[in-house]
Amino acid sequence: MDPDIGLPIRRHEVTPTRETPVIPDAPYTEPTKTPTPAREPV
Amino acid sequence: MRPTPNPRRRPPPLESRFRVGEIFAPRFWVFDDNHIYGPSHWRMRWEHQGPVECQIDGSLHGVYAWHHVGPILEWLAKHQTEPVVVGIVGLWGSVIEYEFGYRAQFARVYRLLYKIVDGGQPVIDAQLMRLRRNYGVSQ
Repeated sequence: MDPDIGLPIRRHEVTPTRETPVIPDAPYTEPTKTPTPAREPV
Repeated sequence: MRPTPNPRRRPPPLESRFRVGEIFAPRFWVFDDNHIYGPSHWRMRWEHQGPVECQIDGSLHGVYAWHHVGPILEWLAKHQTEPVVVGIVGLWGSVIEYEFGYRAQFARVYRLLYKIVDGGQPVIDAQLMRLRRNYGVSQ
């Protein structure tokens, strides 16, 4: 079981470049108490 | 006589866009001392070198990632049954964007940020550092 990703919105055709990417961070934040929908295994 | 189309039977085709450069997004993996694995029941192993490829059409569902790390952490706080590593992947090829995440044809590991054990606080330890070395990522 994983966190739900919701409904499909659009499709992208993505071509990587040779440029050095700028990668965003994803810092830890204290989880809130709001319920998160669950889904079947992916 | 032609049958009347049932609009509920087939969803409309998704709008398609072309993009240059990878889409960066957070996701999580289960792990052992040397590798990370997809969390689903078939535990696909991510190799140290090269990208992961997984078709997104047909019976395969592609590589999952999320728009933001918050929903991952909230879900882990409630449902986690084993330790995981949270990180950042780059996605490319055919990528389907969802409300809260993505399914992609190709993915590569760019960050292995921290371990989450028992839905608790982030942990950076020697095991995580070894995984970072194995996958050639600095953090």
